[in-house]
Amino acid sequence: MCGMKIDYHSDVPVYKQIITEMVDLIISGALKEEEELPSIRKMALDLNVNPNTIAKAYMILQEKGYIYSIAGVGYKVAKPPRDSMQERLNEFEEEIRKILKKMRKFPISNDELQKRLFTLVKEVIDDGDQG
Amino acid sequence: MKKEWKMLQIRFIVLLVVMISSAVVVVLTRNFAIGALNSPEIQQYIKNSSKIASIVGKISTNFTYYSFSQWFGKSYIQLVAIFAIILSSSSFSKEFSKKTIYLIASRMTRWQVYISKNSIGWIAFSIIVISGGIGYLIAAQLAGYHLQPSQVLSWTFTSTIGGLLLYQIGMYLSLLFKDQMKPLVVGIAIYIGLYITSFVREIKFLNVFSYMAQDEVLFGKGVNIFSTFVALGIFAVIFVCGYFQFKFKDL
Amino acid sequence: MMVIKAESLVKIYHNGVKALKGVNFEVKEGRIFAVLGPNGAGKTTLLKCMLGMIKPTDGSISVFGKTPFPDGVKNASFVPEGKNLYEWLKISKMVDIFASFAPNFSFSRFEGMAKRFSLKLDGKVGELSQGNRTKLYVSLAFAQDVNLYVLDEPTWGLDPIVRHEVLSLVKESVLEGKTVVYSSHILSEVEEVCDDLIILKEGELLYNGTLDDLKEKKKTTLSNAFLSLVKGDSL
Repeated sequence: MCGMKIDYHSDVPVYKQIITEMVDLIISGALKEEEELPSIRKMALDLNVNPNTIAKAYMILQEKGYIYSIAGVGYKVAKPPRDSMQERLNEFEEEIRKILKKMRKFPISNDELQKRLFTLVKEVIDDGDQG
Repeated sequence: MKKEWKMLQIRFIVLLVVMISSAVVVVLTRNFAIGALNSPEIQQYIKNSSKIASIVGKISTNFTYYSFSQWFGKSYIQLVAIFAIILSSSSFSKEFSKKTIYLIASRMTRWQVYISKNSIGWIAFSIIVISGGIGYLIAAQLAGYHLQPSQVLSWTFTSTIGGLLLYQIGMYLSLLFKDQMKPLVVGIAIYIGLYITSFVREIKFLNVFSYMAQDEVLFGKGVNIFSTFVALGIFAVIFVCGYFQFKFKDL
Repeated sequence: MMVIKAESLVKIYHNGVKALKGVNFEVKEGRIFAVLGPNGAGKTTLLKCMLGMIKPTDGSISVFGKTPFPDGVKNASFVPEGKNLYEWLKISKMVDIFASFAPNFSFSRFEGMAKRFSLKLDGKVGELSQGNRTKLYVSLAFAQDVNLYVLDEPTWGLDPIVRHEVLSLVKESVLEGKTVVYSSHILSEVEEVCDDLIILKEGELLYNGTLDDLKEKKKTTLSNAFLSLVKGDSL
């Protein structure tokens, strides 16, 4: 949670940045089902963010079913909603697509483009296996 | 309250010391003054005018007369008038010019700000004025002169009432300006105006200085009650007007 | 709950300057509300209206359900644009005197603030640098345990470390359920702390809403959105 990076000055509102980061942590399993989340207070102090912003992020995460609240105890991680991973994958693919379109405009062959992409994929997979 | 006292503290002490030491000096220099008046040069000069000669005679022989002509009717009144304006003029104007008014006016009601400034001022000023009168009396007794305490108290009383009126005028001026010099200058101009009234029969009653230095007291009469009430009435009107001036002022 | 409500608020000064030309907004409890605008937009005038320092020419403003003029708001603490204290007083005396008239002043809160800002209490107020004077003023104001803090350029003259502390203090006050009105011309600061904001220009409201909505509607950063609004683009 502490590794979360917030950019106040981005065009993306801070509450959205927090939601995205937490959704990814939940889908990836870094935050496990039933795990207790830091309180709004603690989260606000740790991230040095306006507590109202954390409250807004938690509220939306709850609406979307990523987390749930237990009165008097706090917030816990829920089972990731169906299709949630698919939604995020689509978003990531969209980002990759944009970049590939840019690369495609350079004077390189289709083979070259494919080769580079495969190398990257292989690199990431190998890194992941070692880690 | 605490702050108002702190703001006045140094000026209060200085003015108190000046007031008491002036009273003592006037008592102590009596012999010197009479010596000067009885010198051959002065006698030569005044012998043509029987009126002046009789005044000089009275000053030399009668200590009460000396006290009135040199202190209660003269320097004392001048000091009271000057001190009134020195103590009051910066009271509000300094808060405006230094912008400290936001510190206090956002945390107290306008009435609280107004009454604390006024009441501390009245107390400090009255102490200075009264100690000028009482200090003179004590100094005179210690120097072996005889003075009627009732006369001294009458003059001290009228000077305090009149002085408070002048003080209140200064407070009002202090509300009107955002710098500290203007209330001082306008205050002095008003004094000159008040003094000039004594030369015009119709508006003579406006001369607060002649009320403060009542010569009737010299002839054994008491304090002029009517004038006292008029002075207090004007004082109250200025106080109330000042409050409304301050209450509805944009800070 | 509503803390401040302004309706068609107009302020015309005696010299004819129209500082506010009919401004409407609400400040909700527990929120950080920023007042933005270029110089001369009417920010300070608006804050003075909130605290009853000046009388609105027309329209109305209420704070905690009451009209602030002329007696001020007991449940609010104000840090004005000029951080002026009594220069001739010793700092420790200044604290005592402030405590004597400031509602709900808590010495323990003050000590906490002073420690946080590493404020030294030796010497006279007049000997303090601009930055230290601001620190002292902010510490005194936040030592009052009140429900509304109205801050006019509270980071003026502060170095980045203390500025960061002040911003954290503002954010944390939300945890205590406090409401903060924050005026600044430093957009990056406001962007870091505020929930809601208004943007003023020449006495008129250009924007009134949440920071998130502004970013989402304009699809850009606060500074770009601010610039385009001030230049006259509509949302």
